[in-house]
Amino acid sequence: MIPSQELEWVRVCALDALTPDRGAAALVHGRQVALFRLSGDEGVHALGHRDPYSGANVIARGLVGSVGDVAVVASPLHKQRFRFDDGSAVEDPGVRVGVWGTRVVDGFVEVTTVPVVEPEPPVQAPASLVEAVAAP
Amino acid sequence: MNQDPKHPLPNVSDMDTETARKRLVVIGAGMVAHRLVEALVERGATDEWTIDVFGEESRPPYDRVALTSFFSDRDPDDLVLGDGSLWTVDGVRLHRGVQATGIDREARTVSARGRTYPYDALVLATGSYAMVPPIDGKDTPGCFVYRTVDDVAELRAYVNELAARLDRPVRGAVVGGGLLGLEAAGALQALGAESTVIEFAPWLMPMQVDEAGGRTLRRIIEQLGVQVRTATATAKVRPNRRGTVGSMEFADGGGSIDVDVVVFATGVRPRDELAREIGLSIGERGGVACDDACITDDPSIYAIGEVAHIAGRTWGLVGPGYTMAEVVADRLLGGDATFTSGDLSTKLKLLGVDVASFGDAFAGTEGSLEVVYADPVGGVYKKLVMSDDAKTLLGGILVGDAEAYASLRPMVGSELGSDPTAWLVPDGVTPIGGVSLPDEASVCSCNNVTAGAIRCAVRGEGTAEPCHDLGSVKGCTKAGTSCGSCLPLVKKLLDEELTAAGIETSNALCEHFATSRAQLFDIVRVTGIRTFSELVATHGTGRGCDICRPVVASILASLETGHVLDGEAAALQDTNDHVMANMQKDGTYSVVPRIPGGEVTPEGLIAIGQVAADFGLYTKITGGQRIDLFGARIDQLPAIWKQLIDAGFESGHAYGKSLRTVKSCVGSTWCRYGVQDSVGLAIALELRYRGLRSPHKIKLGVSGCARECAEARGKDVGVIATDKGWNVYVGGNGGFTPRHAQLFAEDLTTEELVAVIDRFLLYYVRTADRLQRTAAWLETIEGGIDHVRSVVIDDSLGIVADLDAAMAVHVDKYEDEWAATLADPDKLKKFTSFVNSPDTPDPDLVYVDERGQRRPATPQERATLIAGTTLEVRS
Repeated sequence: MIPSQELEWVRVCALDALTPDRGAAALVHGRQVALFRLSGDEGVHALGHRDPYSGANVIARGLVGSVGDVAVVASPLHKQRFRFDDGSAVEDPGVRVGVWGTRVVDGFVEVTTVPVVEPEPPVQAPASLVEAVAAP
Repeated sequence: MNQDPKHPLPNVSDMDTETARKRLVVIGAGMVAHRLVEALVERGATDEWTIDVFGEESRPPYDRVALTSFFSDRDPDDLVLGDGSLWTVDGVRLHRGVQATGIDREARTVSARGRTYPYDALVLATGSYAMVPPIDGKDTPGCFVYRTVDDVAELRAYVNELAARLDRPVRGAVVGGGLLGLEAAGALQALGAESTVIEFAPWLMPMQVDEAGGRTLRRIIEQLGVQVRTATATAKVRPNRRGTVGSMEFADGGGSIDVDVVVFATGVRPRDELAREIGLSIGERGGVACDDACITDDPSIYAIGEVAHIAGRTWGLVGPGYTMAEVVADRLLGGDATFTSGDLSTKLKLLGVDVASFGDAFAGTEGSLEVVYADPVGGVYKKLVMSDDAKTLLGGILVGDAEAYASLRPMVGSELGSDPTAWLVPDGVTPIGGVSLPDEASVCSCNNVTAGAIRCAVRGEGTAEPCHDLGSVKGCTKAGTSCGSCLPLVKKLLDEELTAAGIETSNALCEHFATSRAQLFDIVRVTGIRTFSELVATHGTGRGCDICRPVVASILASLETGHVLDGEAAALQDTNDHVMANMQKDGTYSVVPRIPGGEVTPEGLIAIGQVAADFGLYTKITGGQRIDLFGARIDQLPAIWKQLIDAGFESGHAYGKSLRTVKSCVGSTWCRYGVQDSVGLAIALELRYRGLRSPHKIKLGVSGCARECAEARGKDVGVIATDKGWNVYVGGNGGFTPRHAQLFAEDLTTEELVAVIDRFLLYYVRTADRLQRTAAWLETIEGGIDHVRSVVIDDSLGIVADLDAAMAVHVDKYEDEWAATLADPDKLKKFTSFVNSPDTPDPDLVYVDERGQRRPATPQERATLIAGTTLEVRS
């Protein structure tokens, strides 16, 4: 975690532009971010848009829901669920999407310029990307 | 630990030196090695042992059995075993792409890549290599073997490259007509190549099936376009002028054929060279000799899998290999498990043809009787080998129809309990539950799981807690986790055991709703609740999830026929329903305009082609007689649809759990055999049911005569013309578990037919479970097809008027979702790439050209292309 006083913020869109319980993608300093406004919640969540399992930029198009008390979004490709609080995959906590800080100022959504939690891809996949480095 | 490559440190290993854990080294990282490590980790062995696994392939252990599926567009990464967490367990290390090159028995070390690794126990799991017969020209470029993902990838690349260069089909030959050879022939066919299979023995698959079975197999395979030459020896592979494979010659005046690619699938040999070097005993025909504990001459060295020679032979199937892995895991933890014998039963789908062989397939038991059913026309051969009193099942062979395999194989050694011929006639498979399996019967031969073990797991004996669903039974027992052919039987045993224990099987939709889909449907219908938030607040818990949200969306759509993106419903739809297109692997979508009955005008075809050309979309004809356009970005969808709608097309609902297509043959309008207008009926049905939301996709088919060219009996509802009217069949599907539709009603007028289909579909929509096709619904609904017939035709529940009214509303309220979306600026806002930069397309999409069209780059291709070389087709 980066101490909050060092964070820089960038304005992304009006809060009203976000449909409750439906994601929207945004470009933040060259990185793709998935914004979510959950029904019944004040704030906005921002996760990495890239699905760490497939490498495709699709997280904003996933369905939101809950596992127990924890709010999650399911990747639309293979349904792995990621927690909004720390970006980790419910079934595979070592894997995570990035998490960006968010705040609402004057009816606009602002997110941190860099993620507060960096994404963590699965250990194995995509194998080919790893092997390109590992092969002698 | 970083190490200077110029100064390798002697005897320094990656292994824990700070702890007192013993060191296990495993040479080989195939399926059996994976199972060994999995078993050790599950049993907590990492408290005692560190485990170092060396695999020469660059991939983590993968499912070699499913290798051929890699041709049918699966990513090789999909074949990887497990979720990878095994290799992150403390004390477990996988050395990928590292070949162990020597063993020092004195020092107890293994050397690999210039370093040495000490061991307390060593397991050889090196598997086999593909044996290539010593014929002239076997190393000519264009000759391949078929053993690893890399072999398959090279073969695929070579064939694709040839196909692009030649103006005729690529000609392939497979030497070896066994299991692997037929797989390879299937792979060649899947690549669009012609293939010839050459087998030395007088018939195909001589190890698994008898001569009559081999003949049946040959006939089926030849009908699929594969040439077969049996009793033929290959003498020579000759190069062409380019120096690559050009032709092959056969021995004994067998002539020659022109070929471009040769695949050798002539068997495998154990990779026992390391064991030979250090003087371990080797079996007569290769393989490291072991006792029944898998221990070699050296008490600290074990051998498992295909490299082990045990109980008098080597074992080329994964099932026995897994058993050996379990034996060694047990031994390393101080147990005394032994390997006595393995089950060599196999069931395969080769080129789409079922072949199974189990037990004493060749009737080697003295006095055994063979009961045979053969249908040469239908391409089916079945044989049961029975004891001399015709009561006990000893083994069997099934070719062309192996549906009875899952039921029969566990019965080997047991009395069949009925006339054996009853198991052989078509569709005559005695229900699995009809005979009670003995506890010792093996249900899953891949993982050696008995009926008793499954029953124990359900009862919670020897498990942390009782397993009350299929997933936990699979997790606890490993049954059904390899080939999966036993899963129906496992489910049956689970249900029987639960019923016996008085436990009601839960039909809860998910953690948020304790009700089934059918109950939820009734709740929504009766209460009039029309929003998800109200429904989850009154009848569920939490925020919902990716399971219940789309189910509720579907139920609301079935009852209201409102637009899928209206109000709160937008947040319930899966991305496919939300953007009304089908998401593909790279996050782009495919678009399918509706082509009712598969009838399309030349102008329509041109318009679709123009859209594909304008937006750079990959086009492919679907199995449902329409055209799929791939690679559309979310932000391109409205413009694509604007163009399609202007040309007269509408949504094809390929993305929805809804009616997909009504497939038809050309019927009496053109066909000299047709007796009714099948195209006309198909179009009418497709227009009637388009947009109908349902528990799963629905497909229909209409054939204009009994020749059944529309394959209507493979559909949820199939209509076949008779000279008196229409016969209607229900409950068919293709896919993972293909089903033939069953006759529902005969000789109906068109009006009667439509009424029957209306009611059948709506009764299904209201009462089926989530993602349950009509076939599974008919199997689970109480009373089965007879019950449904009495509801639909005899109105036994008194709901026909209600169903008819509901269908009338559906037909009346239908509107094209895409046309409605284009007319609504609010809905169009959803189709943007980035909310703060709507004009920037996803910059990470990378495409390459293949056969004149573009496709997503593979991760390898991506790594070589510089980021940002997106093939931009239209801004």
